[in-house]
Amino acid sequence: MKSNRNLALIILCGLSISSCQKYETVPNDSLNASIVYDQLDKSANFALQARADIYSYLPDGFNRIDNVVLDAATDDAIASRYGNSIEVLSKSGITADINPDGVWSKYYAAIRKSNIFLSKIDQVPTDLNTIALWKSEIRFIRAISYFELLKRYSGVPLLGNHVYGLEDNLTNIPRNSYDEVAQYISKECEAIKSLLKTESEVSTAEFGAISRGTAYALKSRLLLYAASPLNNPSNDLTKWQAAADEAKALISLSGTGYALNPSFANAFLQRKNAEIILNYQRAQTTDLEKQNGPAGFTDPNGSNGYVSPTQNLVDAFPMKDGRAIGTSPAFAYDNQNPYINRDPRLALTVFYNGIDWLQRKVETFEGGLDKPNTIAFQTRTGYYMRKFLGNFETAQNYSAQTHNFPIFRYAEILLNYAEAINEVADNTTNRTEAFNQLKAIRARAGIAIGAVAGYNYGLKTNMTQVEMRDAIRNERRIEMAFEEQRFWDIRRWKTAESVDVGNGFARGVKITKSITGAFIYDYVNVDKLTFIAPKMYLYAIPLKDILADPALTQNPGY
Amino acid sequence: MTTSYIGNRNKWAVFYSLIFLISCLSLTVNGQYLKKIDSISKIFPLLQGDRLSEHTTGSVNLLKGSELTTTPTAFYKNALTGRLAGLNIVNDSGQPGEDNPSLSFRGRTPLILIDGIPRTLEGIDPSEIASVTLLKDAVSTALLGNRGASGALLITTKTGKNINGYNFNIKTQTGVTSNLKQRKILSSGDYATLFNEALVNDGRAPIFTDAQIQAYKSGSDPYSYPNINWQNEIFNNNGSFSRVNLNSSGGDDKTTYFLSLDYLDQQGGLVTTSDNNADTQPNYNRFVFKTNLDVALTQSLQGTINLYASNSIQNQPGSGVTSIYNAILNTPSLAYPIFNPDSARTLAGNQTFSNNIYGQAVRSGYSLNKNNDGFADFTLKQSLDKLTKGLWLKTRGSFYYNTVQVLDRNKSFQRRQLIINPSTQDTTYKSYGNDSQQSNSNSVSRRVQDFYFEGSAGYSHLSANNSKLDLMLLYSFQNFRNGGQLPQKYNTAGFDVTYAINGKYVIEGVLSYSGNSWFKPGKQYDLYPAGGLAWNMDQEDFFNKNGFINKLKLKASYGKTGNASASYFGYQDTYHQNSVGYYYGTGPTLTGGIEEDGLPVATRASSAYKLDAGLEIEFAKSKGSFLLDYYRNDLKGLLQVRGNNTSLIGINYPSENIRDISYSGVELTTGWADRIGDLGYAIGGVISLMKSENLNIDEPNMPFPWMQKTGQRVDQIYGYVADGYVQTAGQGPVVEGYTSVPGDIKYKDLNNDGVINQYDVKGLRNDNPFITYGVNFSLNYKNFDISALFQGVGNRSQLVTGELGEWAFRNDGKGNAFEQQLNRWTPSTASTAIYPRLSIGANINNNVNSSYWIQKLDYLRLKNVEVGYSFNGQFLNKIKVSSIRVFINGYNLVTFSDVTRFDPESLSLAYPLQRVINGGLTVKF
Repeated sequence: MKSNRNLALIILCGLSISSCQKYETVPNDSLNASIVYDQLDKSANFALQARADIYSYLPDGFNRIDNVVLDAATDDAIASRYGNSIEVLSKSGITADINPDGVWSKYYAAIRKSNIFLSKIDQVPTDLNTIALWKSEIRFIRAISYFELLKRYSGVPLLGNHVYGLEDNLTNIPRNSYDEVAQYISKECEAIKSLLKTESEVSTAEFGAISRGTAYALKSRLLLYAASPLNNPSNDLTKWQAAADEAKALISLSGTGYALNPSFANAFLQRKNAEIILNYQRAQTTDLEKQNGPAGFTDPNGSNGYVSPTQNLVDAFPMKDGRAIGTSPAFAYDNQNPYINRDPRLALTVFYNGIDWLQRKVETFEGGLDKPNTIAFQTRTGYYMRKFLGNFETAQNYSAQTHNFPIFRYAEILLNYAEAINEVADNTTNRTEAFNQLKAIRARAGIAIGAVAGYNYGLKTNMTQVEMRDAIRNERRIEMAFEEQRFWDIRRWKTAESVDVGNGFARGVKITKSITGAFIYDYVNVDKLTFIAPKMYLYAIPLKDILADPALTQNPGY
Repeated sequence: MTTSYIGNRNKWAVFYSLIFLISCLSLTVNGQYLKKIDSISKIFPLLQGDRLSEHTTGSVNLLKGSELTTTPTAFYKNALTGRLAGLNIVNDSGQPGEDNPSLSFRGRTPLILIDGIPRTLEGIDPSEIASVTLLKDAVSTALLGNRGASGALLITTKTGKNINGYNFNIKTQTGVTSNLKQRKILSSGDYATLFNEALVNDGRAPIFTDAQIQAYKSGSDPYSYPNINWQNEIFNNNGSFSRVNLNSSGGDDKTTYFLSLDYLDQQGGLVTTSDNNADTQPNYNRFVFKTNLDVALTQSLQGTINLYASNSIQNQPGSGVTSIYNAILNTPSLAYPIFNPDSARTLAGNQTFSNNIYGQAVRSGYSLNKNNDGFADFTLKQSLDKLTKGLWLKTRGSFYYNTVQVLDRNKSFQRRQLIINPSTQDTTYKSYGNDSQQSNSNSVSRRVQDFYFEGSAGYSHLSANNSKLDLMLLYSFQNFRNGGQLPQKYNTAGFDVTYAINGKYVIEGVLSYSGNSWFKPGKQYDLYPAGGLAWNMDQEDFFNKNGFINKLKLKASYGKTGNASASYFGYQDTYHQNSVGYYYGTGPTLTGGIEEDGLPVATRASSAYKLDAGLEIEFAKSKGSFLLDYYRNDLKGLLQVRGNNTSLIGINYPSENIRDISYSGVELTTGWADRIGDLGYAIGGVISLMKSENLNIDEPNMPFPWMQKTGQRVDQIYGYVADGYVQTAGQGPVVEGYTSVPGDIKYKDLNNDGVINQYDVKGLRNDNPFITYGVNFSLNYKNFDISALFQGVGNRSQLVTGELGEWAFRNDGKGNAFEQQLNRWTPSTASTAIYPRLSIGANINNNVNSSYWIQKLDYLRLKNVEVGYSFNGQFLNKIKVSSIRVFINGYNLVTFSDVTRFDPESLSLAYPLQRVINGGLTVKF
């Protein structure tokens, strides 16, 4: 009897403890596809965030690889820090396993995200024009993602609009050819041109969004690359013609307002200026100054000087009259006073000894504040990277500046046009067209037309096709230094393997301050560059992907 | 070995020597005290309830709680080391409050049950522990269902005894702690010399002149040419360990109780300053209250209430101990002096090394970690003997809570760099940072609520022919809430039947059905069967019980258990907001991003198929014992990303149930205990040998067989095979894209393509079994007792690279250098070098994973010694004291190892492990 009562007590206890209460069985707080692409939200609040996420995959090039710019893997610069992983690129160390610029998975992620957006955005009840516009923007980002893959890996698998899942078998997907991918990108650019707003139609609040000119610019660069020796071994002139046409189409496109910014420096520092076709938009920061400013500046302006531009680049800048160093009748080049009377772009591209910065002279002489030869980091070449930084010559401290990475700017289109039109045919008409572009660029740079007969802006007026080609190539180098152009240019020109480009020495200057205070300039080899051709013209596809997808063939040499 | 520590301004050692002396002098030794030597206990606390050894088929090891009390440690797990075969304990930190070790058993982390309930409590005092049972095989753990795959440690706390009264134990102890072996950092003069050498090796110009190097060596100008041994400057004290425990047990035939109050205080050994009005010393103190109360509610109904509450506070400098220790390892001796030569003794620093370590230790404020946890268990057990003899019912409920609050009161401090004008010798200062107000922020970093319910029923019957039947039915439910997440619910129902035929043949079957709520419905539950057989050969008629062997049992079991490592509702297709996004507008304004969380996948609990076979022998009238277990655990369906994970899909593949691995080995426990006159002695040993293998890890077809990971040991390390040094510049094979110089590491070109790359990567560790062992001795003679424990590991190796490997001049030369670099490669030391030629910054050929950096980490350690003397006599009775025991013990006393650079147990870069010399007394009345 008693035990029965106890038994009842135990059961009662058990029941009362386990009595049911209602709980969430799955978390109701998580976002999911139907919330993000909300069928009831006219303002598309969450979908716009998905769009912003995809925008963040636009190429950004500032100090991108182990704190240095990609062009530190060319003859324009080296990393200040020894053992920087950029050396894998500058010394031909890429393998299927090691590549500091291995963006294979990054851009396939962008492609996936774009395809999700494209497949779901139609269910959001925003007005149809806006939806169509957004879809065009996202198609552009998908296209440029393919372009970023194309220039690194050559042909890659085109995935179309499908969003793949766990159940899909992705182990037998082959690569498409270079031409197929190029054609896809080209077609996509064509398809979205009319749907995108022109630069002037983009609202202030939406500034920075993909505009019509952007689609032209991508196609212009794509066609230029496709026409270049690396990808056009038979030198099919129709490819050059197409490249020229596309650049010209953008130059003459109405409603864009594109023009060269009267100030070279402001082209990078003004958020909204006529030269910008597409920037990677960023907040106002002092990060570039702190990463790249001469290393002798300390807190609160603590600067790291990660990039050491080379003497090779400095020597590529002409004198003030546009004539190459050592050839100007007006401005003799003195290698013991090398920075006087130079192209004004030089002082906006590199820091050299004696240039003003934060109320003092930059000291890159041996033992100087910016090259103290102690454990502290310092330049290896005697130069620091100045380009993109704010104008802090006379300021006491850094202040936040606009630092947008130029993905496409008008100057590039002019140079694209010049290069392509010069290649289309060896005649004066075309060369005049090309020369006109160089003139515009040099005039903006602050070089005078000059009074020396046979020369305009320091360039010979009767150049041959080859001379014109060299002039355009040098202009691309100095005008667009550190903008992730030269790294690709020397590959598509197939000049990377030559000794004076990718297989020689990165040079620098060793400056000794004598007892009298005079500087003695001594030019030295700083680092050996190595370019194994043809292997290094293309990156290796990551080993993981080669193993997982046997239909994917590896690039030669890896 | 120990004296060097006792000499070192050691107030506690002096204090304890005095106590010991006074005790010896003032008390007269009277009467006999002989510590009873426990033979291997025959009653095993199991999940199935307490069972006699001859009625079980499972593989278990039992440890008495009394063996754990000799170790002076804040965390009881430290005391388990070397005492249970197969259980490996690794401690990574000696910081007060952080020296809680991790456990591994047969390659996995075992589940811990305290008084039968899965939970992790750190504050259990070893003297509260009655026994620890290590549940090894499928039969022993099957009732845990999807939480049994990793084995389990069943910790049973002490309960009261019916002694018709009560007794009190007071144990107070205190000791001094000091760092075990520390990494040896180069002095400034050596640093500068080697730095120059590294520069020259890299084809660069040296930066230190001979005069500067001389100045670093002579110390003539300590402000411009400092030579600071930061380890000595920052760790300039011994720490301390003190603990007071009061426990009482007793009761009558109705009620019994065990009650314990435990207070513990650990102080670190960092430098402090009297300038502070708050404590910056890393320390830890904890107060724990525990009580177990058993009440006979009726003749057949037993009620039990167990209560536990713990409250601990951990203090450390505002900068954090880990970052301070890290700074010590990464700051060259010549980086900066501690103070400037000004009257205010401002802290030094410069642009390159802008954080003063002394400042971090004493001028960065402090932060507190406050940890509260506790539980209340309520159990009712109804005997139904009246209905059927041997039948019972039990129900139990338990609550557990745990809150960790972080109170951050840090501040920053100014560093100033002395600048001497070379021509005028004028001194100026450049300052870095500012002295700031102390901040005050607090946050709750952990909030756990755990509810457990259990209902069980059992039946036990011993028949006349000595056949024993045990039945048990068990249902348990655990609801674990952590922070803002939905609770994780474990549901397990199980049934165990054991039948021992005539006491000779034991047959056991267990079946459980177990689920976890975080898995997708339909994949939440699995069935876990296990079965075991045992043969008590000593019960057979043919067995000569008077022979040398007096007990012999053979046993084997096989079964399936599970491991539910559920990701948080990972089967749902969800999105999350990220911080990246994009800036639009001329403003510009950031629009945050939204992206997929990942590919949804419905996983389930992985399974462990466990085979165990063993032998139990007692011999020489049970003075000696011998327990041998062989096991093979096949773990199937572990989570892993599929091998064919192409990036084309655009998102990371999730982990799926596709990896199969296996662990196998043998574990041996032996013991011998005897008495010769007044001398009692015991010796015991445990050893385990373990091997592992990747059975199937779903990898794609590898181009070369050595790249294949299937078939390799589970913890294999992959890398290049080092093959001597480069003798002449440009010689290979070296890493692709690298131009070699003499003294670089050469590698084996496995595929003979002339370069070293991903195709030359192979498994680097050999297949020898991993060995852990322990040997313990105890001895008592009249009132003296002494015990010692040696513990060691064998065939243990690790890849030590980067900071762990004490690489020199990392971070482009800002990094530190160590004494091992004195034995670097140079043309003259090519044959004896233990480090490649020096270079500045990362070297893509030398600083990669390779066999060159595999470090053997075998060691044998005198882990623990205790010496005690007991007083018990007439005069004590007068003051109502039944006995007094004084003791001295030590922890981590002597280490034997080939590893010379650092402590072989702890490779981590945290606060060094501690040696403890401790003494105290126990008073019983």
